[in-house]
Amino acid sequence: MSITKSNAINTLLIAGLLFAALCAHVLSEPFIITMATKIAIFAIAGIGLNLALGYGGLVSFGHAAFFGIGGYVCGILASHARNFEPLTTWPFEFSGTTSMLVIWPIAIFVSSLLALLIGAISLRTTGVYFIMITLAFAQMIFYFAISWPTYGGEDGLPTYVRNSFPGVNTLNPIEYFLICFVLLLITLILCSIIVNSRFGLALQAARQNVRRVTSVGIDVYKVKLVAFVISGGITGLAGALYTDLNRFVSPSVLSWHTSGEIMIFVILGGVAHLFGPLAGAALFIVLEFVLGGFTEYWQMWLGALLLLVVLYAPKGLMGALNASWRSHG
Amino acid sequence: MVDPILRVKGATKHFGALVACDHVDFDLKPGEIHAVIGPNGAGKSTFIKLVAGEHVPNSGEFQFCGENIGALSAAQRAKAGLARTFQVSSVVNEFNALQNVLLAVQGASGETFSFFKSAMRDDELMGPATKFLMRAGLEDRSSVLASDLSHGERRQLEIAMALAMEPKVFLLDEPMAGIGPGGSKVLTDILDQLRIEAPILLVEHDMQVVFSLADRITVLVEGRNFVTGSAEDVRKNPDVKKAYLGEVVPE
Repeated sequence: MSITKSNAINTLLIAGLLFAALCAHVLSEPFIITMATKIAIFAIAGIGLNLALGYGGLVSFGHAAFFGIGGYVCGILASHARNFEPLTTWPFEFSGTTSMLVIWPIAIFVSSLLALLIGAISLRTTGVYFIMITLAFAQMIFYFAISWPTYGGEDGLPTYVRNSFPGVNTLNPIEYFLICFVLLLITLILCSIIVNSRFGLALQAARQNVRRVTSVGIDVYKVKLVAFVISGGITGLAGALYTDLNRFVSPSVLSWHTSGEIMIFVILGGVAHLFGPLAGAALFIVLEFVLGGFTEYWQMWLGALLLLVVLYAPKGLMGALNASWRSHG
Repeated sequence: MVDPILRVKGATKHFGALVACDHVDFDLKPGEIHAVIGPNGAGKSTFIKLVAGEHVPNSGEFQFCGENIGALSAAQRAKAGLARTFQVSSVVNEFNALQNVLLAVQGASGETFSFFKSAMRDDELMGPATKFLMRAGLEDRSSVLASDLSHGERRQLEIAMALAMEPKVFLLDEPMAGIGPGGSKVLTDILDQLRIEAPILLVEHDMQVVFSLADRITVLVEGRNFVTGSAEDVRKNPDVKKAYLGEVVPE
């Protein structure tokens, strides 16, 4: 019973997002569509982090690195293509691209590779040290992006128009929303499959009891590293989508604020809950809009909410919703 | 004379100034239960951790099935066929009993990096997992969370997981811990059945259990080999009694 109920909540959530965007389209409210798109993109970033943080217990405070690198991959490829300056001339000439279908795989590949490097070193530590070392890596990349003038440095890198997707006018808000929405669905399905696979079983077991998982002959370090790489790749894809949404990428996507926000989506929504990051991102963006309308100090109220969630609903919004539905139903 | 399946020579482990294991020799032959006993602080737990690969020894040689396993990690040793249970039950608490055993079957299969097939719907895992759970007498408790199992049931779950590894040797670290004097009948029977599967290195505090199960016994005192012999010899050995009562007079 409870499984079908939680399925109902999940369906409601995802259908609600689609419905909101479509209504906004009918009512010609592009701002609302952009908000819905932002929710979809941040949810993808959160799903990426949730794989590491929620399912694997790897509290990464450096996911801005992957989000930002994904964003910069998108920005850099597009800017080269538009300026007709080849990105590389050896071993073959590659002049960048404005095709999303090429940009996404490259963004995923580069951010996964970065996750492999960062993870290989960071995963030798645990607990607070892991948090600090992932933060340190992300900050390194942040300061590098600020001080490297080639791609705009501190001023960021505009891409002017959105990249292209066959058969879609990406500059039309609702069409771009639908692209992000479909990618969100794919990410959700992929994540649910991974979580229930042999690998997912080992990852969740490793979060709870390293010694036990080792004693049945599974290399915990390898399991965590692979999870971290997949996690980084998914968050990197979200970064690429975010650059296209804004038609602009700046070092701020690499800052630790971004890491914190992605973490808030996961914690608000429900750690290790498949739909948690979607619920968290939706709540965050809506609150930012609603509270931001009342007061400049909306982040203080967000902080208070986060405190309440952590204290009274440690399983997040999704956990609380499922529980209350069960007790009333 | 049969070749031992597990042979340890001169296992030594220091923790700072403390010498927990001091040149311990040990061997395990096919089909036997060889118990390691000794007073508190004799180095029994350290010894089993050295064999399992959880501690890095200062010196010593570890041979398993004729191969030197000194360089293998704990996970590699487990996969090679050394299955251990823990003194304090160490299971995956948020998993149910069946999932715990499933994890062990999966670990033994060596195929963890499979991302797309549902593990809980995989007959290659579910079949053996159900079988081993039954062997440990937990078939009625398969969907109960490990954290909700009773203490004794968690001990059984540990054994089900060890069984699921289909090991060449069992390393049992105080399987009766916390059960009370004499152990439980269920567990003793299960342990007795285990020797059919593979020989057992048994570290156990409960003397009644040790003498009813073990073929050979090694007594450790202060990290050193004290006596090794058949259960009968050790029982009759007056020095062992003294060692246990702490009456060993320094010479």
